[in-house]
Amino acid sequence: MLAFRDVIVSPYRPEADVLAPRPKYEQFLLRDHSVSSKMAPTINRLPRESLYEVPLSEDSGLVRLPSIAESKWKVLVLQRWVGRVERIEDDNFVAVLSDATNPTNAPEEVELDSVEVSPSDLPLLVVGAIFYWAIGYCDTPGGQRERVSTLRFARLPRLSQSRINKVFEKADRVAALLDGE
Amino acid sequence: MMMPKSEAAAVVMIGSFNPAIFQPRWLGSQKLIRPEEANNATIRAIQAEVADFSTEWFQFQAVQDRVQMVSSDPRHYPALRDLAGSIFAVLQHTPVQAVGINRQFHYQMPSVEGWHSLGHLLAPKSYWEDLVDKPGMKSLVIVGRRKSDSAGTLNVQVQPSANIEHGVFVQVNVEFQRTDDEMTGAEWVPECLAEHWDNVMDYSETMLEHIVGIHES
Repeated sequence: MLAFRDVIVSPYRPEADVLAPRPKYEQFLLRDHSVSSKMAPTINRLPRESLYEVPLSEDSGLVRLPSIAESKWKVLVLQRWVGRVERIEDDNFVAVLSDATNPTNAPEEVELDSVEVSPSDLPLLVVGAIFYWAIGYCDTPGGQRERVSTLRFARLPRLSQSRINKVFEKADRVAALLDGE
Repeated sequence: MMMPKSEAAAVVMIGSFNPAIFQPRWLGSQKLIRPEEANNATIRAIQAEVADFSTEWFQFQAVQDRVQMVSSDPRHYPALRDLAGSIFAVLQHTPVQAVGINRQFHYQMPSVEGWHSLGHLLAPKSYWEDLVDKPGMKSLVIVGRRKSDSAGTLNVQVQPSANIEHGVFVQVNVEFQRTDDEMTGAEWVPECLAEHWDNVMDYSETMLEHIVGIHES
């Protein structure tokens, strides 16, 4: 039988309510790790656990995290693109956009103003960089609907040499398979 | 796409984790989030047993056997995928056994009748009325595989929305288990997310349209 101990980890601070409303649970219930193995996944411990609604099992052995806070800003995305920087000019850059909303649309080349890029993303603005561009509406907590355009550069870690080697090894295996070796 | 009242996407990982490492500053030092996001994150707890913090666009929670990252801002879903994949590309030796890609919606049904009708269609009350007075559908979970892509186990959950009156909550979860015995860490996680994320996101939208459209068909 699973036993739980209550651990008060952190009271929610009022300022957390700005973007993260006060959760339904006021404290965490941490599992007593002396009770059973923490590694064996069971049907009740897997990622399907609902984030908002009625848990599939009340005694699932899951740590009871606070329910996920829902943003008070409601965003409605109308159109999304994935861009790849092709070249950089003085105050702008040229990118190829792939339509993520309707992937059947052909890629198109566009010229964008560098001022569209968030200052902290500017170091990422290099040839070959990937970015995500979305336009839509944002409803503020005060009821104002605003048109928004959001451009965010992808942040991906540099591949390690061992990872690169594995990718090439896999490619070689696939190539050999296709060649019928 | 049908316009939900609210929605979220989430990545949930099951494995063995060291929650204390998951700090906004660590994510910032790895350049996985912006410096401003690292500095201005709202930290609720960073301890050996739990990490819980949020930025403007995602919420991060980790305990020793589970990590979850959630965003309710659809502009940033691709960035959420990148963040989850990148963390475990850096922490590639962390044992991760399962990854769940989740998308969930709260959808306002156009009428009370439509809301009841959907519940009756998904869970016909005629089977229950002999023994149960005023039966109602509290939760329905369908397990299977996606027809478009059989990878991963599909779980679709439908409930009355707890957030909006006469609304429906739909959650699509696709769960991937580590299969390659040679891999004991998290090497497979970034690849899994890169390969399946977009498909699960698109599939979830199709599922929402299908479910809330059932009562009209």
